[in-house]
Amino acid sequence: MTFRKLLLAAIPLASLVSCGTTSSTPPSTLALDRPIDVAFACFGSLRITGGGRMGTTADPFATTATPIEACNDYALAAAGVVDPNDSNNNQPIDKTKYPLGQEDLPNPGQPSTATLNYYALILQSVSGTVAVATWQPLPPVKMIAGTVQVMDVDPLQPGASGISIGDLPVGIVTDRNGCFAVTANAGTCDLSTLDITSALDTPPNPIVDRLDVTNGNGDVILAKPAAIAGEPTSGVIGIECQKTPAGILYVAYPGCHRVAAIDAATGKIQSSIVFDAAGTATIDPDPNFTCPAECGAGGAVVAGTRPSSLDLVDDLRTYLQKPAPTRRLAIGADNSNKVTVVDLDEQHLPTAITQIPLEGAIGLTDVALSPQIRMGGTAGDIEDDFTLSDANGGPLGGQFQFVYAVATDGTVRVADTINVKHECDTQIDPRTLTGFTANPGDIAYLSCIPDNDKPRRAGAKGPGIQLVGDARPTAVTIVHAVPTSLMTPANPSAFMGYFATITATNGGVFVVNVDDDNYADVYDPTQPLSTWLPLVLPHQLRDRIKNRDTKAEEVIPEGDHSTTVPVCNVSESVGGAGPDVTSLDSLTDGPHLWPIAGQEVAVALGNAAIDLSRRQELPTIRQVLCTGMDATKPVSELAFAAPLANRLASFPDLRAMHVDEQWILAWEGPLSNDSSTEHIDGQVDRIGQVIVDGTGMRVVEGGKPFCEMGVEPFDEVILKGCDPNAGGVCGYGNTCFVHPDSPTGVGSCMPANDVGVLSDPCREFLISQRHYAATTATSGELRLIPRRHVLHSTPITGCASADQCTTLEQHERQLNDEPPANGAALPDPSSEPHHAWACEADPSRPGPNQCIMQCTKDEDCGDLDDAGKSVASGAVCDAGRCVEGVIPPLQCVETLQRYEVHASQAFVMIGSRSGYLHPIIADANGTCVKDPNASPTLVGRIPLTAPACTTGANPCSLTIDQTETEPAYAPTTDKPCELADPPSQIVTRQAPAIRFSNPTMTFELVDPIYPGDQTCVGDRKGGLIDVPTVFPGYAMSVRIVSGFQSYALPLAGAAYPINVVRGPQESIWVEDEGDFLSTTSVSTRGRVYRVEATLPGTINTLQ
Amino acid sequence: MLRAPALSILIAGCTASAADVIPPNGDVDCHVDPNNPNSASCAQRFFWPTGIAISPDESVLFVADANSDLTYNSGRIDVLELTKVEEAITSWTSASHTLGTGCTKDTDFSETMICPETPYLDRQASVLTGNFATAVGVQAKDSDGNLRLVIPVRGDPSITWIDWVKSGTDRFLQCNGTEVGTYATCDDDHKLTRLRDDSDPTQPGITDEPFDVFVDSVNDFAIVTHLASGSASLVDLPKDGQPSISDAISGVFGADPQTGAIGATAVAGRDPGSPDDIVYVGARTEDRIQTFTVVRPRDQPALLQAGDFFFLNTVGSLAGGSRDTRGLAFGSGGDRMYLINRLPPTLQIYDTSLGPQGTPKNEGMSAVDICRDASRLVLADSGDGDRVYIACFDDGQVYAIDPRDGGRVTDVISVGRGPYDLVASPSKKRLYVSNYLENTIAVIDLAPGSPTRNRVVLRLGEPKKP
Repeated sequence: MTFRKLLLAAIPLASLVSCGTTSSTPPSTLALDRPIDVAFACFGSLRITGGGRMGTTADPFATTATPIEACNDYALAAAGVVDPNDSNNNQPIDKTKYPLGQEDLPNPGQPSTATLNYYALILQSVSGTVAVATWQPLPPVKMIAGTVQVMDVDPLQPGASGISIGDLPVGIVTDRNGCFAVTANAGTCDLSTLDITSALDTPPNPIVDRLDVTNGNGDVILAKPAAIAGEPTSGVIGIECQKTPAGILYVAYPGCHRVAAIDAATGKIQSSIVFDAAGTATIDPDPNFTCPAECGAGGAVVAGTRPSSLDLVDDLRTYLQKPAPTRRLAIGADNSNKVTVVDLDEQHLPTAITQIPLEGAIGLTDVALSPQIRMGGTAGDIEDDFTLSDANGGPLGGQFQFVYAVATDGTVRVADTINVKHECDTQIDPRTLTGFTANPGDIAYLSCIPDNDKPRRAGAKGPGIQLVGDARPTAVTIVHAVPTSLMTPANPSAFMGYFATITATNGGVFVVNVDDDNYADVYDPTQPLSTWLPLVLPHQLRDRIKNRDTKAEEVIPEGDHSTTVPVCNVSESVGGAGPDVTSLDSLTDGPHLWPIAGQEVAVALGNAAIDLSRRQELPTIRQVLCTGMDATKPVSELAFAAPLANRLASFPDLRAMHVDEQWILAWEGPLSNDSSTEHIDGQVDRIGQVIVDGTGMRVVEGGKPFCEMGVEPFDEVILKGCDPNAGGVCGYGNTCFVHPDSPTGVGSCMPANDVGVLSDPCREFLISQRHYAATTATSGELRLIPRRHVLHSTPITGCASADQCTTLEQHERQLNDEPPANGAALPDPSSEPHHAWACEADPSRPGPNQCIMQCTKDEDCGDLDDAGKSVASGAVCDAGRCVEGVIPPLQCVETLQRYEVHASQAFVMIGSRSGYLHPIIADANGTCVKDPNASPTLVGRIPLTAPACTTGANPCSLTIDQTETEPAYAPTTDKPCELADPPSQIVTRQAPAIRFSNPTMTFELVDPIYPGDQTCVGDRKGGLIDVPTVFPGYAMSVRIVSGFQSYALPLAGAAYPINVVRGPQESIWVEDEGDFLSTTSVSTRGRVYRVEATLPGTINTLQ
Repeated sequence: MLRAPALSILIAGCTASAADVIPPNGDVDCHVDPNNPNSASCAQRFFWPTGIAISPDESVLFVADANSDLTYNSGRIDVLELTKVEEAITSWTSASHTLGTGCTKDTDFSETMICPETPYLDRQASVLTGNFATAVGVQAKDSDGNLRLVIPVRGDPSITWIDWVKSGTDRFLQCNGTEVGTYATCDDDHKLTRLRDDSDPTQPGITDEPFDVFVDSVNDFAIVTHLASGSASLVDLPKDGQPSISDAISGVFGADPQTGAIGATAVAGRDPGSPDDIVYVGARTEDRIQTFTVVRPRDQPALLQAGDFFFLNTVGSLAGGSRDTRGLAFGSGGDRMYLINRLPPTLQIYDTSLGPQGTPKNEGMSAVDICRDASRLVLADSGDGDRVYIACFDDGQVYAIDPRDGGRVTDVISVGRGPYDLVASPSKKRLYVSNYLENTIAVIDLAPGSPTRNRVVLRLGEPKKP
């Protein structure tokens, strides 16, 4: 479902606009050019000890690259001793954290310790270059914007130049010692190695070598690589770099259906993981295989599984539950639904394979592997850091190691690879997840709910994580946020635990809670607002709205303490301009109703025949009693001030909600919500071809929109005609003709030259309301019959006789009258004028008998004024029955016709963001039918009758408490309707109701029928049975705010983030490919953002 | 959206008016000196080639010379004989690497042969058109290979239609009641400039800047977009009758609030030939796709029926939207839509398969970052699955993208300056690219397994110096 506003076409046209290209002048200061990947290095002046011992003043210093752990140690040292009370982080350097051999050894003329900096090696694929950025080894808390700077590695070239590295490189890694960066090149099917020291030395003299990949026979492999991963740096600090790279590299070759383990020093393949056509992976220890030569020498690729993404994680921590270090490689194939995890030995060579099939015919385009996580833990305790809190690694939910995979169905799939070893379903409808407690078994179950174990929320594409709106994920990584101090509980920006960050095509970078150690693990019914289930569960998009636990309460100071009291007049209830949903901080609290123009439920009566004093006789959304210190009054069950149980019941799935949505419940309302400037679920005002032939009348659209609209049999089709005052609406050669007898002034598009001829034969059509019933609906065609003119107050169980219809019409007419003045009783309605009625089956409406207006001529079908005189209404007489449209001669409708489709005999619930939700699909013949497999909450109609709620139906009928303010009468002999003092009273009564649940909310529509009044307005003693008061044009609106809004990293200007990488100290590095280089607006050739996982507001932007 | 077409604003062109300023047609009857095919009297050279199209039997390539600098007094439609082109490539790519007559080896790209275009053109078939032709659409009229070209011509402005007639062994373009081929100038009967009845000066003229064209051969219509007005024109193309502009809808798209720029750009049909083919139209200033169907009421001209629209929200919607659509193509029987936008520069892949409700899903699936200022795209399957090729006007490159399962750039091909349009020959496994800024047609080898796959193996025309 999409939602967007159109541009308004209000600007005069430029008379001559070139159709050629748009010229652009890139800003001269831009250093990056469409970055796709980044690797990290540590470089500087280092004491050379040979490693493994403390340094001495005799040890020489050398300028060299070194394993990144050296910089990490200096960053730790710079953090000093953390003092939460020192907001300036001015703690002295903790020199005890210096790496072994780099101790602080003052020695005149010599450095006292190493001088190292971090470097980011930013890969730019199209230009085949590596840009370099640098920053000091600082802890996250000391990072500020501007700390990281792009550097110029070629002073002889203007601007901050990069290093030419290869042809179409697909990824970059550093080798085991941190001395070389290696790229895999799709353009030349080889590797490039960059000597980091040569590139970062002063002056830079980058040494780039090409490294062929060879098999066991020494034959060159010329397959195109798609991804590269390297073992994390683990070399010795205190030695100078060797002349060749070290360690094992993994390169994915989709065309060869293999992932090869390659010796970084020689390019020789050591082993490989090979995929068969079914996606099953095996370890092939024989390095002597060949691949199609995709680069230069011919060789066609054959079909097969295409491994294309990699992630390698060394989890070296040990504890009782994990007694040995683990090293694992995750592999995704872009045409296989199996995620593959390979256990590696100490040399990082493959030893065992685990494969987990994911649901559906999907492929995986990016993968991220987490370390082992002990699931669970709350309220600021970093349960996952075993060195700090729990040496045993248990208990809570137990150990999990998740792989996150970007899938081709537009979701991010999750699977556990060590414990339950199955896909985790992230889309379970929270309504079905009740009764879980904080025992280890429950936490374990919720940590990875088996795929398809429970019903999913309506609209779920599958088990994967769905981003918001139309965003599609591009990449994912997992970071571990370990703040230096306790964070504010439930603060959206307070990251503590494991989180996945997901880049998306729409420019967003989303955050997913893998294991949020700053939030509850299960729903706690004693603290429901602090434990919203969609926020409790792992693998859910992170929420960005604060203070979800707020209640309608007020804190009253009382001396040295304060008291919290319930209130009913919460600030929102006064209405106003509404919340600013564009700001991070403007929305707070749980979801609740926001008044529209001061009304909790805004009501529109259209051209209703009902007096305002009778409004309470119409169906409405249930109200409940709010008892506060400030007031006692009825409030909507959706309101913030409603009792907590009502609020919670009203919004059962926070994640399914839009952050701000207005819902309209319109009786017999349109099935679409779009205007000419919005797109949600299709246009209300449609254009189609009306065909009249021997088979009847039908409306046809080539786009076949009707099942998508949710049309059901007997829905109403209104041919809208045209406005003669709006030029150009009928197309060239046609005119908007208004028949002189038309009571409505609505015209119809007709051939301009034929109006005189067609006026008479088309008269009945032209003067009618042109309302039809769609007897059958297929995706491209609606068959129409004229809609009968019926009495709105026909009992929902059907009429019994024509006389009953007459009585009900008289009663209905009285609803339009103001109540008598001076406390007088209601007049006897039997004196009201009336039409002639037949009580019979209505071919244009299914169900029981209807009161259908009888006639002998058109005049019999008009509205009656108070004197009983007929006023033409657009209903015309056809075969003794009044109808709202006639089947016209074909020539009357030969031009394209505007029309609308409305529901029949039901409220239509339609959201400003969700649109009209329905279960209608097309069957094999194209007929619109209800999907038998649809979620029971995928409904958008509320009829006035429904099965009892005890049947489990939705919607369903019940009797329920309704609290409202009603007139209070103090009858006297001559004034039976004299109002009391006060003139109103709050009452709670049992009311008939229809309970309705859609994916976002549940509520009761009370009083679908009304018994009528006997003496005074609102006395409910009329004795009418099953008589409704609704009428076309009656609509209610509610606005629900503080629904779900996903937390996104606040990256200004990100246009097309293509990749995200976990960086030093759990920093998050986002590569943005940029946008069009505009001379008139801010744009770039791409950016790289560094975000601190624990301080997501601290962002370094490179461009 | 207004259905009344706006009056056209005729461009006061600066076309050379001297009778002798004719395009470099050469002398039709001259004998081409095999040792000097570009001799002054015989040379027929490309000049600002823009739109290109291939015949359904892949025997000829139609090239629109736009005459963009108005050096000559008209544009021209050339007919490139692909059999001859293939013969030259075969010789060149053989082990002997035989250069064609008058051809040279590209000094920068050893796999590329550069040849004069004259010997490969059916010079007697060419016709002259208005200036600034932008695209070429092809309607298959019958199984004998007779075709009709539909060409948006900005300079007139008109929608020019030209018949490709096969008569025995003769083949020629015809857009003149009295002449065929031989550089005949298209007459007014073949330039559609007014709605319904071109001969009636009271009828509204077409809007400015006809830009792109989609032709549905089976359903006998073409839709032309207009870059300067956001309009779409429907051309009724009865196979045995006179084409006419039967309907037009203006205001399909709105103007950019800041610049006032407006425009309907790329157009393509989801399932050409099907009874209810849905035609998708992209915009220059909006991130929106508008759909149309064509209806033919009884005894009425064919009409454009505007259907639903959808926004391109999948890409860049958090950074100001994704707009300036320059190319649209459908693959997999209409189940996939490939779209290139300049902002952000992306190939966007949409799922346009029919959903459970019988309506195209129109859901974004994935996107691939591409070059800046892309102009057109084409889909080609040379035997190992669909590939998308994108002309990168500014960079002189063609991007080759494997769109499967998320999509990835598989090659970046240096192709020449100002690549504008491209078409593929699946049977020959070639891609033809018009290089607007250097007056050449580049031929790229698409054959899987070929050592020159995704490389320019032949450049026709002497590259004009910058």
